Amino acid sequence: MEKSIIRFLKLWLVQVAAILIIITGCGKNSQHKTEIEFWTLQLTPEFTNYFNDLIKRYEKSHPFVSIKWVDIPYDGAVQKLMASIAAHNAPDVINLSSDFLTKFYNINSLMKLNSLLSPEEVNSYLPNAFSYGVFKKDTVALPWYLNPYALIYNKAMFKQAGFTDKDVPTTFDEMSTFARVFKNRTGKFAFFLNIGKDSFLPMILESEGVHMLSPDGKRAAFNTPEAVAIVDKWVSLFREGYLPRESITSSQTSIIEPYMSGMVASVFTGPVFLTRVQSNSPGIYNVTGVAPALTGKTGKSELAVMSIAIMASTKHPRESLDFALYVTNAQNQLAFSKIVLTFPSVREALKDSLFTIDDKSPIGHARYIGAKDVLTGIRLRTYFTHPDFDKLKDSFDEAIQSACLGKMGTEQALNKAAQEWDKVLSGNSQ
Amino acid sequence: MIVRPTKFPASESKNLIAFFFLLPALAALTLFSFCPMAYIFLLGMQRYNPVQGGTFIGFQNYLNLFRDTNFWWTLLNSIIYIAVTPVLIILSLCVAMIIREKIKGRKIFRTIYFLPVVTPIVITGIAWRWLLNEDVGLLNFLIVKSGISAHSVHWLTQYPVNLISVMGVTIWRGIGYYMVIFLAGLMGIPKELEEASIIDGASWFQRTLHITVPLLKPSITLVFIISSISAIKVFTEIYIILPGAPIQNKTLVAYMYQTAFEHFDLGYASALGVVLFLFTLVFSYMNMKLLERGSAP
Repeated sequence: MEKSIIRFLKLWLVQVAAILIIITGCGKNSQHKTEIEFWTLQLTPEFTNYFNDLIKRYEKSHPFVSIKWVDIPYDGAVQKLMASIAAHNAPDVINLSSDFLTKFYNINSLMKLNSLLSPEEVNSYLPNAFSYGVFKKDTVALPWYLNPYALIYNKAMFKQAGFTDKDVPTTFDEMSTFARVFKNRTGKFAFFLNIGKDSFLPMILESEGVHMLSPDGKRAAFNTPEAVAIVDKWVSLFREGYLPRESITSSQTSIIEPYMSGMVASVFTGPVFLTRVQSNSPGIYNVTGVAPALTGKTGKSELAVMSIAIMASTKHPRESLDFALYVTNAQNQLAFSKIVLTFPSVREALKDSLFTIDDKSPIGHARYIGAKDVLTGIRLRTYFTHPDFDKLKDSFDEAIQSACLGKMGTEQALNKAAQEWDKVLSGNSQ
Repeated sequence: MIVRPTKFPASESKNLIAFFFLLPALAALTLFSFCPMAYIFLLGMQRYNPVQGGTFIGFQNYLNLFRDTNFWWTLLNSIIYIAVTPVLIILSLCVAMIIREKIKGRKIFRTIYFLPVVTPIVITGIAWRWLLNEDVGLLNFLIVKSGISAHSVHWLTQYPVNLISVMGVTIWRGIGYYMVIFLAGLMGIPKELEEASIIDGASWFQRTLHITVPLLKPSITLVFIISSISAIKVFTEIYIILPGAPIQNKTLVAYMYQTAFEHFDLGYASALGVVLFLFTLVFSYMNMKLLERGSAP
């Protein structure tokens, strides 16, 4: 019995010693390497090869840096990053959408890049895209890939209704009239637009020249007769059955589904979704047309910007910034745009023939017109930079839903939302 | 005089061994359940952000709750949601009793009824959302085509129809699960009692009312408590089927989720959690007392 215990102890000691040797050995090797953890938002498995190649090339040219790439789901991204910050194991470099940037800027989690970027580096990016990463005077992110808006429409359905490409609406106002005529002629929906959940109405109002916030940003400014008239057009369209019922509950990410199923003839969204139409509904893709984004009186349209930020907690700011600049440089952004219908945020990459020649295919045409729109697109919904922007968004969306469902009039709904906004903006919300 | 070494009596040493084996589970429960629960009470008294930490504000979060219309609406919806419990008990008991009989293909039926339980709610939720689609959903198509209604029903947008739609999905999913519990309970009822009642001329209804249901009381109590707690805590169905509905159409747990993980107001969300916990505790206690009283001779 004693012998077997001694034999067991010996074996145990040998195993422990072996493990210690392995651990210390590994430690010695990794002492020289700086590991940068890089998080992206839902880009696997489609772009796994792109990122593996990107990282391989970087590591080859930077032998003392290793990149640990982690792709996280978009829906749980904020929660995951928040938890990692609280647990002191946040990544070094992270891909964030513009609303996520706001959240993390407002809790001081992002590294300020002002003094670290040279004027040449700043100027290499499109100024409108670069401004999305600037809060007050702090630059906290580099713009990465861009998504302008476009009107994606089904030419066959348009033809059935007696319309041609020349009849495609160019403004929101024209679309509100067109939607009625189209449905009266065909019994089908002309257009899908989120007006309740993730509402586009604030974007429409801003594009029409009606501001959501007062100039000092301390009060809501959308409860005016002019705003009521614009919003009421869309609320009436919904109430009278000219917009699908889903347009008050659907989220922004599922906006393309009604179009892919042939339920609606057009949709206002990012051209990036065209690749999904191409793979999931090739029949509809073959009859798809793409027109520039609908706008209001001002002619302004919005831009969706994906950014690369560096966490304030990083222990390797220099290496992290170098990697962020590498990911967002012209060569790598152009390579990325070739495999997905997004637009680069650097001037140099936009000069490529990929964006200057229109091959007349839906994707090629979307690239051609989108490359022009990304030069002028701006942040119309400026309230998205407010720390409590999600409370503002929710209260507006819910007020519009109430109006659409007939629980209150449009004016009353906008007044109610404005009251909620004033509370949030003054910091008195619960 | 011989002094014997003191020994634990046999029953006490048995207890010690039992406690020894229970210790790891108790430690895990304390660490992962009781400590976080206690921490929630502390968080409920703070304005808390996971990154910047918290500031103590006493009972301010609880006072805010009373002024918050979203809280009252979602609490009301959670209470309404408990209505799935009696429906679930009746339906799953009926199914269990039918399936217990030696009917042809009962194994297939048992599998069919249990299928929704083992299918991930995300998949079934999305499928239901398609079925309930107000413009092109199958349900509205059938309703309009068959002439039941001239207009489509607003399953997903009109309150409280949307809440009832989700309750329907919960019932559909729950029948198979509770059916299994009732089947196990039915197996335990001595055949002799039923046979004797048949000889005495009792009808099927009388047998069910005076023999089956009273003897199934422990199973019914269990199902009542489990299903009502699940109903109060319902979240996934709401999250999948009514993603864009106003918060006042949703339940307390959905509101708690929005407050905690979308608005990151963890202090207020914790206060909501404490209220939900107390509500569930009181409700379950009352249930048990009520059912105990009902079973007393």
